[in-house]
Amino acid sequence: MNIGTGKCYLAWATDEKTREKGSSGGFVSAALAAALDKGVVERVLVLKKHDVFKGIPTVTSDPKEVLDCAGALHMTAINLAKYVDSDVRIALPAKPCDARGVIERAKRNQVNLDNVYMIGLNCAGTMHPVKARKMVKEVYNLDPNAVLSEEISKGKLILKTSEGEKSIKIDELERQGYGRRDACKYCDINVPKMTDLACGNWGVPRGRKATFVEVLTEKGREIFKNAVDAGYVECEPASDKSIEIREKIDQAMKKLAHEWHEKLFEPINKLSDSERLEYYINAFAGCTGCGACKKVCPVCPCGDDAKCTMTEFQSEVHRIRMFNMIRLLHLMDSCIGCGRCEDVCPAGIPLTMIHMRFTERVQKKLDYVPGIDMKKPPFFETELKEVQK
Amino acid sequence: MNAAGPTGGHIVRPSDGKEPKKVAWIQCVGSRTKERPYCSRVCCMYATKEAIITKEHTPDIETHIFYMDMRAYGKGFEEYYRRAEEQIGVKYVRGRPSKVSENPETGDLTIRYENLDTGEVGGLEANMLVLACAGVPTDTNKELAKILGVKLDENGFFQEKNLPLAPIETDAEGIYLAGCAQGPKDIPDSVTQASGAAAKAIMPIVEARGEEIEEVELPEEKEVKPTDEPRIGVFVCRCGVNIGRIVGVPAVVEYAKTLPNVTFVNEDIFTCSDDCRGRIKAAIEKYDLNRVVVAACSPRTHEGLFRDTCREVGLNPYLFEFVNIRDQCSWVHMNEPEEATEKAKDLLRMGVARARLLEAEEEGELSVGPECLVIGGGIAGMTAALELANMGFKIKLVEREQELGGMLRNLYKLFPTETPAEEAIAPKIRAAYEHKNIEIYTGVEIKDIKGYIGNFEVTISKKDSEDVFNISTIIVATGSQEIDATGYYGYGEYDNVVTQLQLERMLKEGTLKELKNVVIINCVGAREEEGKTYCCRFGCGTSIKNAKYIKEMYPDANVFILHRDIRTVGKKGEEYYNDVRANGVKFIRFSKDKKPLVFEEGGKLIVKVYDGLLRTDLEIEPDLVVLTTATEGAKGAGALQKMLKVPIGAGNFFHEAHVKLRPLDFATDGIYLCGCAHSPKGVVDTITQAVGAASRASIPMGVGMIKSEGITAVINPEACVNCGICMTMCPYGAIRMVDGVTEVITAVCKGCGTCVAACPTGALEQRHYQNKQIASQIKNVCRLVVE
Amino acid sequence: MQAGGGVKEFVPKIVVFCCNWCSYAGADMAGVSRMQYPPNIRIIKVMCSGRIDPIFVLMSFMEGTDGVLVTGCHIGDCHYINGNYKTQNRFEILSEMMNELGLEKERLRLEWISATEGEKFANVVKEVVEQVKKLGPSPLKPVIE
Repeated sequence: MNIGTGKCYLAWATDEKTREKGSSGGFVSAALAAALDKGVVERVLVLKKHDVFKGIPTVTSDPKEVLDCAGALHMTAINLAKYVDSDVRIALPAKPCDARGVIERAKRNQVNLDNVYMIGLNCAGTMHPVKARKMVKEVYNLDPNAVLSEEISKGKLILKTSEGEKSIKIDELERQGYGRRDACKYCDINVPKMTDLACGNWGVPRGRKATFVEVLTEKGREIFKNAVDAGYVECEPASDKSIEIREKIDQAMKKLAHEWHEKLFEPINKLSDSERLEYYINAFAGCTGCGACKKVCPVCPCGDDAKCTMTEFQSEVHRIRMFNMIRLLHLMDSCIGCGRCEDVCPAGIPLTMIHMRFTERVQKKLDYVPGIDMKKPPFFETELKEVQK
Repeated sequence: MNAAGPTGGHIVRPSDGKEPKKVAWIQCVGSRTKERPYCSRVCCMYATKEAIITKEHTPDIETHIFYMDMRAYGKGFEEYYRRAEEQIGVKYVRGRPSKVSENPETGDLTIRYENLDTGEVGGLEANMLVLACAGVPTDTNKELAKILGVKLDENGFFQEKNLPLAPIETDAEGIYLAGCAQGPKDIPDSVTQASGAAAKAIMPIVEARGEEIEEVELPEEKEVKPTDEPRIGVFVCRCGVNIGRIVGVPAVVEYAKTLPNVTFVNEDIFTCSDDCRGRIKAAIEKYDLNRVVVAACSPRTHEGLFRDTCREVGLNPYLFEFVNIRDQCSWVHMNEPEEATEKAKDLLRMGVARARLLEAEEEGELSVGPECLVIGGGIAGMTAALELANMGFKIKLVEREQELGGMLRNLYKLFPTETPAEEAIAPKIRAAYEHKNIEIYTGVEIKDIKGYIGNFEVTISKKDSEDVFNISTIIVATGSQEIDATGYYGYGEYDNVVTQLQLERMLKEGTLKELKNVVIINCVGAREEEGKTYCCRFGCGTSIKNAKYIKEMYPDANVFILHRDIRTVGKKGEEYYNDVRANGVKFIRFSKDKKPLVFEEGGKLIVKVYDGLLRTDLEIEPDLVVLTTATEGAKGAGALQKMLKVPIGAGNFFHEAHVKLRPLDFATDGIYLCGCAHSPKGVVDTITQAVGAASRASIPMGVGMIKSEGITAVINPEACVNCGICMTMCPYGAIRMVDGVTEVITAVCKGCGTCVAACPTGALEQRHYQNKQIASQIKNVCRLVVE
Repeated sequence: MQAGGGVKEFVPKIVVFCCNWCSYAGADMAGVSRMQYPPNIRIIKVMCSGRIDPIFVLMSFMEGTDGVLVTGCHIGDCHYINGNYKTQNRFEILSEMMNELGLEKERLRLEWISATEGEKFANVVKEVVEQVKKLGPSPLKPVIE
């Protein structure tokens, strides 16, 4: 079949095992493996399953290892962007926030985008592993170590143990304070349009083990065509109905995200300026300056030496650490809201929301959305712009 | 308008000091008349600027400008004029007022005028009127000309040797012209001509360049390591009574003694005096001071002096710190002596804190060899090349065509002197080929340019071969071209619609057939809403000159010039225009909203135009339509721009470093521009710019090096992650990446520090303005937190 | 010492960042012209307003100043081509940061002051001091027992 950019397909792995193991037809794993096999790329970056709560970012040149990693891990929270080493041609499965991280890193010269093939994954969110374990214990009444695999289907999180499976609606989990990370709840970029291929199960007809694939770039077409030519993948054009359904689900997810945004931001929105300042002072009071948030941040290009870490002084008397202030400042234009900082913060500071509150103001004012194209970040701007006051 | 002026920047009328509600300007007062036929060249933009500032100052003031032709001919002028009219709301009225009368009771004025666009006659009431008077020669020109033995022209300006070809020289050897002495001109053109005049003036004495320079001998610098314990000497100045009368200097002195690392404190009446500076020197030696702080006046006037003082006894000048307790303390807090004293203490504390962290800095030097690459072998490139070659520099002149000569090879005669174009280029081509210092490459493309001033590596390709050479400086003279006129006024569709360039060729080759009706349409694809928004500057002159030739060849022919404004701004331009007008060429103005139409009807070509003056449509059946099209930068300009990493703008014209002050330089050291690569212009302006650009390029080559202050950026490779924000920020191309590693080219860095501010890692530092040095000042403003 | 000085009248301290070529000269001009303005400001000179890292502004507040005035050459007049463009862009981002932080953004001001505008310099300082006095001590002042 003639595969074209801008077109949508249903595609599936020809290998039955991969098809079964993959979350929706195994296309992504098969295409990545094919790319390695046929030399389209030299490396693939995948999340290797340790257990359902832990994936280890792994760079491999072995197609078999790629196929072994088939299947989603919803209860891990890793951003792959910092693991992309683009000295050679490399492909990776990319959630929207992975892809946005990669693009922001490319703007800062940390990644050579020409060498990176991003197979995008639709994403409705992931869970924090520590909270997820607690949830398994408290809500599912299961031993977290006994969980063998997990799957999300029709709004439910299904956990499998050797005893059988148990499923609970994600809405219910979230009502009880579990479920997706806050960052994911209000993230409204679910379909990774900034990647080379956007893949997912939205729009796949009921009962079919296939992946809905949108070909977004020439590189995406190359990966897709290679997988078909190499016999790893079969495909058919997606029907108008499929396309429409995918769009509807995306819109519904967006709407939900906006509702969450309102709900989670509301308590701070209500505060007066001086109350908000006190809120931030108190929120950051627990910061130990350990730097973990910076270390995992996919947008931050700095190494250990950075202005934020080097400008620290006399913090007991200062109302907020310069470390926090500079992190806020440096992310003002480019935070992608991936939430990794909050995941790793030992002080439990709600960093995602805090950073988003700051960054959204600038992104709105300057009409800049990070991580979706190669547009210069505002801090890189050298021309004057008409600014909406 | 000037904040430093008599009204403190407020616009008030002279009669009663009241702020006017309505201000009018009248242009061409006393110029473009029988008595003074020339155009004063600067007033259209002056009036526009004044009207804009007036509106910005008080938005509800109405501003009206009465003009004849809006001469927005320079780079960026048209856009400026458009902004004034469309965004700021300046009202423009085409028409010369006939009478101005005053209401003696209110002091208001009534301006009677005819609007030449609409034919309406009206009266404008204004509170104030500004006259744009003709620019006239200086009174003393006559006397000076006599002393110098040079000629004045009929208007009383100095006479150049040859109008298009030698616009800077006079008839007298060794005497050159710059600026308005030759005729009215604006700042960029004056600065350009002045640069050119400097180049011309050095020529007779070029052999002696660099001789008789005396070097000052200084003692060896003593080493001061950042880890050495600071030993600070503080010298507080009373500046007579200027500081001492307000600031409690003894209290400041006592306070200075309490500050950490302060080893020696002294108070003087005038610290800048010879004997005081002697005492500073003695103190440095006696107390082994390794930092000096002077609390006195402004570093802008005295820093150099005290730096020298330190250096004279072997202390690195960057270990000196100035604290300003006069201009920014005693003089501005004259009624608050106590507060002023406290402030002086704070400032001194900040200065001492900074001084502790100061480091010895070296000034950089980079040698610049005597070789220059001139890109473009047209009149601009050849002129620049010859100029430099005559100064003794080695030139490589590169032209992509097979022959030298550029645009002028296509032209017949030049406006306004009717000099044959051949006469302009042929001698230069011959001279260039014969010159021992010029190496000519024709039919070649530039493939790559790497490096920086003194160290450019250039790759050129010719057919199958490549050639690589090193060069110190570069002059960009790549010229311009006509835009593709297809789609404008039936061009490409009707055979008898041609461009000016095609007409020039016909005139040159003598192939122009007999004509009855000729229509010339100006501003084709130029002065547009978007894209080619600019004026081509030479189009009006070209159209007038060619109309005259057609009329001369076929006196019975009707020649029409359809134009928007006539912009004959150069010397003799206006006079030429008047002659042609008097000799029967018909000028019809059209507005941008009502452009002429060219179509075919019954096998005949028809031009339809609305004549605003007659208030009627005219139909002409021409046997030739000539389009004066917009110009754009040469087609290779884009590729060249990427290699040189210099800015380029609308229409593919290069951006100079500063429109007014540095019209011939790029911001990047060692790269210069001239001719139509900069913006469209005629031969006079091109030659002037070319000589000027050669002058600019000769400076670093003549000195043989460039120096940089000890305030340049430095990079710590350990901390740098090569994110590239610094490269984006640097306006001078002083930061580059070699094999993925970021480097500062110290000699090119100007020390603004904007890269340092942008650097997220802190890997970049600005010497003498280090992050920690500035932080120490900040921390010592309040000093709530004691370290 | 108590933040804000307790019962004593509030005497704000304001940091003014000046560029070497225009606004520092403008401040000098105010002096030469004997324009009087309140003694609450402390000038820190850099070569170009483009050197002013927004961190310096944040640091000033963290260290207890009550207001910050950033100054530079007028747009188009920058000695370093376009340093002030970058200052303006950074200022836009910084002022949004202050907005969100809840620190009154009136404590931070950006002004272009030329070497001849001594009067403007004096007037701007007067206005800023007036404004900051109205706002009271900065809530970010370090707490010192």
